[in-house]
Amino acid sequence: MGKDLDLLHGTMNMLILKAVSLGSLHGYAVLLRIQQLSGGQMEIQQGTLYPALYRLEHQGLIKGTWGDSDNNRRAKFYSLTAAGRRQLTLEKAKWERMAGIIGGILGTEKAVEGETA
Amino acid sequence: MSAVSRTVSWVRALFRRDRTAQEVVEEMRFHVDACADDLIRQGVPPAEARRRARAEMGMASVQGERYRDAIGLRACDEIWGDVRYGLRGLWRSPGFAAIAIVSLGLSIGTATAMFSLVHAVLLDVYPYADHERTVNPIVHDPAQPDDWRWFILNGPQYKMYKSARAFEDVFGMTNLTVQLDEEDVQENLRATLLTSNASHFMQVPALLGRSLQASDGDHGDPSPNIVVLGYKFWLKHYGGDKSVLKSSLKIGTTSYTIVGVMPARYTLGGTPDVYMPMSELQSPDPYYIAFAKLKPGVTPEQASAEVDPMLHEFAKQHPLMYPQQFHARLQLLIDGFTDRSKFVRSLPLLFLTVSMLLLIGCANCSILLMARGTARTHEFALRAAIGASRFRMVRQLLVECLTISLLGAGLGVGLAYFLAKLPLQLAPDLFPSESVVRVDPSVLGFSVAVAVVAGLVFGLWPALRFSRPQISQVLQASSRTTAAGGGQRPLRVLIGAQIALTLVLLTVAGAAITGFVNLMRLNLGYDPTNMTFVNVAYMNDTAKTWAERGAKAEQFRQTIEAVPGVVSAAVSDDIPPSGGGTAEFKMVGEAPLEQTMARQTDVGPNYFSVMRIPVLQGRVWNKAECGEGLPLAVVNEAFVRRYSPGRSVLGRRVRLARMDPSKPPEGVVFSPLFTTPDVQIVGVVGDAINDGLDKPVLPNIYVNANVLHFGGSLLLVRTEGDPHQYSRAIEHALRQSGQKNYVFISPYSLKELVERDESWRQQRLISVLFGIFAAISLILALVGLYSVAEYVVAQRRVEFGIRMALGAQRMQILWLVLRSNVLVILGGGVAGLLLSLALRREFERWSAGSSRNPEIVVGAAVLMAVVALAACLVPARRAACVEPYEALRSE
Repeated sequence: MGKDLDLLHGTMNMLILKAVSLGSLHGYAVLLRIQQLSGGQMEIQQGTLYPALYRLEHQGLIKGTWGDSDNNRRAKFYSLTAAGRRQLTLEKAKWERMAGIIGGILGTEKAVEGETA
Repeated sequence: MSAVSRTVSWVRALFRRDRTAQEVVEEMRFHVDACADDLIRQGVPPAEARRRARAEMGMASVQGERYRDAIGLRACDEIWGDVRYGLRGLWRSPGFAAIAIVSLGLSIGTATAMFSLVHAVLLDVYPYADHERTVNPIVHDPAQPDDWRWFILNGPQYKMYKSARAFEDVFGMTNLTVQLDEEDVQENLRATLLTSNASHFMQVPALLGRSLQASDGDHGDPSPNIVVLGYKFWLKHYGGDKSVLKSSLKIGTTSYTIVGVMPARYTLGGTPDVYMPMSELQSPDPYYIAFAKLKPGVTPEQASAEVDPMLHEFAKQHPLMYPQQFHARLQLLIDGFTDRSKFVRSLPLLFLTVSMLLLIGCANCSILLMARGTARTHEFALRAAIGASRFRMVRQLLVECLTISLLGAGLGVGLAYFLAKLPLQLAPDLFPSESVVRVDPSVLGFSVAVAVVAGLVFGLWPALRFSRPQISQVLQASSRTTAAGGGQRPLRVLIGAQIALTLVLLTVAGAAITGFVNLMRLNLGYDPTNMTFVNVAYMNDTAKTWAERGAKAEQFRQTIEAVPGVVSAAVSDDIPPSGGGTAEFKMVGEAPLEQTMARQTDVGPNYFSVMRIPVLQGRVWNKAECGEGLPLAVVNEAFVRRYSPGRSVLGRRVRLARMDPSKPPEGVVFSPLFTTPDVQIVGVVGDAINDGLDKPVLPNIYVNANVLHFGGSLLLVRTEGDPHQYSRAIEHALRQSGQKNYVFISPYSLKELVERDESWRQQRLISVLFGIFAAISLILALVGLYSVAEYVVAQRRVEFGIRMALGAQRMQILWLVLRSNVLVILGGGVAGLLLSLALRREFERWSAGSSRNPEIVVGAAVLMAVVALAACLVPARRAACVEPYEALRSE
C-alpha cells in the first residue's frame, strides 16, 4: 500500500507512550490513535503492538486497568505512569538528537555529491 | 523501569497463570470485535469483517505466548517444556531411565558410605581436643617386636613426666573396680579415676550436667564425693533418665552425688561405668596412666627421646614394670588402634575399590547417555532441519541429563545413609568405640558432583557432536542403517575400561571371599556345636584340701550333667579357640637345645570325648587315675611334630616349669601323688585350634586336671540343642548344690566364640564389603554392556534385514553383532588382568588373610567373560531373529 513505514527499532515504544500520554486508551484505540497522529501514513500491525504494550506494562511505563468502553464492553485501558512520562521525554530528546545527527549526515552527503558533480 | 512492576507481572504470570492468560484472551477478543465493528462501519459485510479481523489477530493461544515472551518468561517456559519432554522420554524408555538412575544411585551411595567410613575411622575417630597430638604411654622392647607395653607412673614420677618440655599438658588416669552397693543391686563397677585437668585436656562437654572440674581437686581438698556417669552405664542403669542428676550412687560405704553424664562417644578408659576425681577412693600409693598432649610441632619420636632417660630411671625403681631392654615409644592415640587392627590397613584398598565403583557407575550412565544420543542422531538432524537452534538442542539435552543425574543423586543420598551404618553393624568391635560413622555432607556433595558432571559431559558429548550434523547427509542416509557406524570408539573405550575395573574388583573380592571361606571351612579340630562353658568358684575356706577340692569339682560336673538336656560336661582350664597359657617345659632326660614352650591345659578324662578331639595314639587317663590324681598327660600332634619328630612320645616324661610340688603357688594344692615335677605322656590327640583362627596350632600338653586345684572349676558343657536355653537350669542347679558358689555361665556358646574371633569378624566384614562391591560393579558392567548391544542391534535392524534378504545366514548375523563386543571384552579383560597383576602386591599388603591363588584371577576373568558374553548374546540373538520382511517394511 506504500503507507507502511518500517518502524525504526525502538520507536514503537516511543509512539505508544506518546499515544497514551494524551489520555488512557485501549489497545485498538492505541492503534487508531497512532494511525490518526501520523495522518494515516503509519499503520501498525497488532502483532507488534500487543507485545510492545505487554513489555511496556511489564516495565512499569504504562499501566493497564480494566474499564468499560464506549459500547459498554470490558476493555483494558492503558495510561502513562510517572516513569512512562519521564521515559517519553527522554526518548523524545534522544530521537530529536538522533534525527538531527542523521539529517546532518544525509545533508553532508548531498553536499559531497554536489561537489563531485 | 521499576523492578516492582516486573516482579508483580512475573508473579502474576507464574502463579495466576490461568487468570493472566484469560485476560490476554479477553483483551484480544475486544480488539477483534472493535476492529470488526470498524470494518462494518466502512461497509464490509459483517461475516467478512469478522473473518478479516480474526485473521489479522491470529490464534488466541499464540497471543498468550507472545505475552509471556514480552515479559521475559519464554526461557522459563521452554526449560519447563524441556523438562517435560525429557521426563516423557524417560517414561517412554523406562529401562534406560531405571538403569541410568540406579547405576548413578548405587555408585554414589556406596562411594559416599565408604568415604564416610574411612573418614570416621581414620580422620575423625576421637571426640577429644587435639587427639592427633595426644600420645599413649608406651615402651617397646626391641627384642620382642610385638611387645608394646603401657607403663604406669607413681605420684612423683607422674610429676616428673608432666614436666617434660615436649608436652603441653599431661593428665593421669587409673582404672579401678569398685563395688556398687545399692539396696536392690550389688555389682562391680568399672571406675575411671581422672586427674582434675582431664576435662580441660579433653574438652568434651558433658551430655547432662557437668564433667569433672579442676575444683573437684586431686590434692588436699577433702573429697566432694561426686561421680560422673558413662553413657552406657547411664542407659543400662537408669534407662537414660534425665532426672538422674543430683541423685546419688552408693559405692562401697559412701554415697556419691551424680553431677553429670558423659556423651556416648566419650569412652575414655575403655568405656567405664563411672568417672571419679582422682582423689576419690585413692589407694595410699596411687598410680597414673599418663596421657600427654605434645606441643604443636613436636613429633612422638622427639618426645620419646626426651622421656627415654627418665623412664630408664623409673625402671630402676620398679624393674618389674618394664621390660629388661626397652625404648620409650610414645604412640599417637590412633596408632594404638590401627596397630591392633589389620582391618584399618585394608581401608585404603576399600577406598580404591569404591572409587572404582563410582567410576564404573558414572561410566555406565555415560555409556547409556552416549548410546542414546547416538541413536537420536536422526531426531537431532530433523530438528535442526526444521529450524531448531543448536543452543536449544544442547539446552534440552542438558536438562535431560540433569534430570537423570539428579534423580540418581537423590537415590544415592538415600543409599549412602543406609550403607554407611552397615559396617558398624556387621562388626562393631573392629572400630574404636569413639568412632561414629556419619555421612559427611562434603563427601556426599563430592560424589554427587562427580556423578552429575560425568552425566553432563557424556550426555552433552553427542549433543555437541550431532547438533551440527550435516543435516542433509544424515537425513538422506536414513539414519537407522548407518548411525551404528560412527561415533562408537569412545563408547568402546568406556565399556572396555569398565570391564577392566570390574575384573580388578572381582579379583579382590574373590581373594577376600576365598579367605573367608577357608576360615569357615577351617578344621577346628574340635566340635563347638551346642557347647558352652560354665565357671564355678567357691570360697577357698569351704574346701581346703586336695581331696575336698577334687570332690567338689567332680560334684559340680555331675550336677551339670544331671541337668536335663545336658549331654556331658568336662573339666578344663581353657576355652577354645584362643585362650590358655603358654609355659616352659623340659623333656626329661634330654638336653634342651632351645627354650621349649607349649600350651598347657589341665583337663578331665572325658575332655576329649566331650570336645570330640580324636585320640590318635596311646590313651587318656581313666576316671580312676583321674580320681587318684596321677600325674599323666597327653600331647597333641603339633607337639610331636615340633619336639619329638620321628620318635614315640608315649611313656616319656616332661617337667613343667609352672608346677613344682615343693613350692606350690598361693591358693593351689597339689595331688599327693605329684611328688616330682614331672608328668608322663600316655597318649597323642589330634590338633585343635588353640591360638586363634588365623594362627597355626601350638604344641599342647594336656595334664590331668586333678593333679592341682585352684578354688574353682571351669567346665565345658555339651547340650542337646542351643546351649543358651539351658543356662538358667544349669545356674540354678549349681547354686542349689552349695552355698556361696559363684557361678558364671558364658553368655556365648563356643560356636559364637569362634565367630567372635577377631580374624573371623575382620575377614567376614572384608569379604562381605568386597563381595557387595564386586557384585554391584559386575551388575553395572553387565547392564552397561547389555544396553549398548541392545541399542546397536535396534539401530542396525534394517541393515540386518537387508543382509538376510541378500542371503546372510543367522549365524553370520550373530557373529557380526558379537564380533565388535568380543573385541571390547577381550581388550578390557586383558587390561583388567594386567592391572590386577600390577596391583597384586598392594592388594596382598592391604587385604588381611586374602588368598593369593592365581586361580582366583583366572576364575574372575572367566566369570567376567561369561557374564559379558551373556550380556551380548541376548541382543545378538535378537538380531539373528530379525525377519527381513518385517525389518524392511518398518523403514
